[in-house]
Amino acid sequence: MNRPTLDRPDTDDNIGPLDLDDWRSCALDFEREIAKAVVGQARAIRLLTIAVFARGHVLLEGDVGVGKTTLLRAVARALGGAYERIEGTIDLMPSDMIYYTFLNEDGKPRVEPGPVLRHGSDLSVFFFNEINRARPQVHSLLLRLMAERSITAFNQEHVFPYLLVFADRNRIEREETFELPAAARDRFLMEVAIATPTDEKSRRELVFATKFHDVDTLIASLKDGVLDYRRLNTLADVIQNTIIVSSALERYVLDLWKAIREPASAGIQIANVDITRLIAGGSSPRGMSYLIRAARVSAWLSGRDMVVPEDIRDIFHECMAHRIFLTPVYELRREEIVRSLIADVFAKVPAP
Amino acid sequence: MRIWLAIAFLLLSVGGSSAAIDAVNVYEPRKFGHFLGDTLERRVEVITSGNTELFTAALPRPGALTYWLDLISIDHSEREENGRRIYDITLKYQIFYSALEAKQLDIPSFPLRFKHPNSVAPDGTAPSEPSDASQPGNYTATVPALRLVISPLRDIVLDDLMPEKTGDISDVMRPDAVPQEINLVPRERLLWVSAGALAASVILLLWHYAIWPFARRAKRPFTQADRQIRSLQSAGAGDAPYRDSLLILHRAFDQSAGRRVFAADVPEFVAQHQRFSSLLPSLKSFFESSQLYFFSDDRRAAEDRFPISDLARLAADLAREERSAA
Repeated sequence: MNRPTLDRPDTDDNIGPLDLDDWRSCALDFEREIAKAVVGQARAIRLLTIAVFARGHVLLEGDVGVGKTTLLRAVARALGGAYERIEGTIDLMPSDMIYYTFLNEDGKPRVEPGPVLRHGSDLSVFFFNEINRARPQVHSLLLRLMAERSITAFNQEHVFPYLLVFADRNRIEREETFELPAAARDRFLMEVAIATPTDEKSRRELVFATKFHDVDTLIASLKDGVLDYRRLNTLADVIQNTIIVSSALERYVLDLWKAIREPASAGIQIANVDITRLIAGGSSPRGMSYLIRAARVSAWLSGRDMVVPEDIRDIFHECMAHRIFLTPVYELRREEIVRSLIADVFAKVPAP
Repeated sequence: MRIWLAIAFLLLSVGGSSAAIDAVNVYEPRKFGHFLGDTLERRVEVITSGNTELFTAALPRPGALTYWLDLISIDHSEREENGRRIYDITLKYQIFYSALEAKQLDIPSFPLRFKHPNSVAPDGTAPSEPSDASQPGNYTATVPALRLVISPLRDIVLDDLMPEKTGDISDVMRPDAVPQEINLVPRERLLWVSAGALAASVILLLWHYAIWPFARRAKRPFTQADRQIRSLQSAGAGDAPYRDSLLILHRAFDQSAGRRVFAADVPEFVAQHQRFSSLLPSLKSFFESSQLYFFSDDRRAAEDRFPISDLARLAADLAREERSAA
């Protein structure tokens, strides 16, 4: 478990001018540092970096043992803040995240802060493992934590200004799980699928290189605090205010949004799908604003001072796919249909 | 020409019963002048009194009677006249005897059986047995034998009959009947109509499969874009000629690739359309300045980096490559 970096001066006297180019090279260092621990996941690392700089929460989805936890621990280590994790179980209650009670050595009952409160406002990464195993009560607490970055406990408000919530969901089992409510999914900036690397070199390295055998040593070998997590909020504001979104791009994004919500009007066609009845709802305004937020970060990471359609296209699936709700008939084929819907929308909607 | 014979048979009558066969009239055909294949008809009329009924099961059945004679049909009916019941039986024969010279042949006689329903019902024994005739309640009328003279089919000697004719067959035979002329007009009309229908369906089929005359000319988006940009320039400055030209060329790229082409897609586009590979540098600067123009506030810089004259030249180059590839 990571501890906040103690040997660093306090943020208040560390506010210097923010140079976006310097920060960009820092961000690329951050990516490179994570890539030392996580092999063959360049795209997931880039998406997580975008999320970190857009200050958005991420839901990871993937098979068992593909490195979701390692990836998040590496991110937490490179961010340098405190890292906490909790396992979603069916009997987990919201209070378990806030405090726990025990009898101390004197036999007296004690109440200690739970994983969320333990590090105070230094908490930078909160990792909720197997989020769909937790009950809806826990989800609702998490919703508040994600939306407001604060919780109320012990008669006072606790604020976590630097908090990013990462959650993961195993998509193998469905037994004893609680599907995330649409509102909870909508609060995640991205839903990133983590797959087993397909290239021979990465696979060989993952299986045979001894450094991947012990995750703790692997994480400890990474440089601590490549970025200063305490300055990311300011930086995110600067990025959002600096990177240009032109009126042509605004028009394009609005067209995309309309095409996703009313695919029939945009002439979208998907095999074996009645396109007029496909969409039940979703693609919320919050989602679209998150998309632009992430697109600005993506443009900045690519060294541009303007958002171009490629930025939108690059992150659209991760930012929007989980916000599109299909009619129940098509829900079972969701993955395939949403993928072709998004592909066709980008093939049909003109930009500029 | 028919002769008829009236033969009355006296029948055994059962005492006390009024039923009886009063008369049998046989109307015979002529007895001579029959040839192979001729048909002849005999009609038998039986006049009965009382409740005498014809025993129809005992009538002869149609079919071959001997090797030279077939019974084609046999019909019977009954009618009432002056309180008497009269049975009409019509027999039709056909002769199959191929005579080499005139010959007499006999159609043998056969019985017609009647019964009297009020008396004892006929027993199961065959009615043709002569002993039945003497039984009470049964009466028999006999149709007599008929002797026919059957003549051979032979040449006839013309000299006496028709002295004006020669022996030539064409002279003897009646002239051939003039064939009836078949009216061809409706069939010709039908032929033209179906030829027209065939042509129409062939044209429809060609259209459906987009074969030769309907095969659309291969689309040439860049040629069209080049033309549009040139007309835009010659028309003089519109609202934003540079912007419009960029858009025209973008749409041409989209149409050529079948999807929207962004700056990041240029290498892939060139890989798919090898003929444009020589234009790669100017394609790249086109997309870069288009990005600058549309997505940054720096429109002036975009126009400086890739002026409209370069844009028109690029469109012309693309159109030329497109045409040379086609």
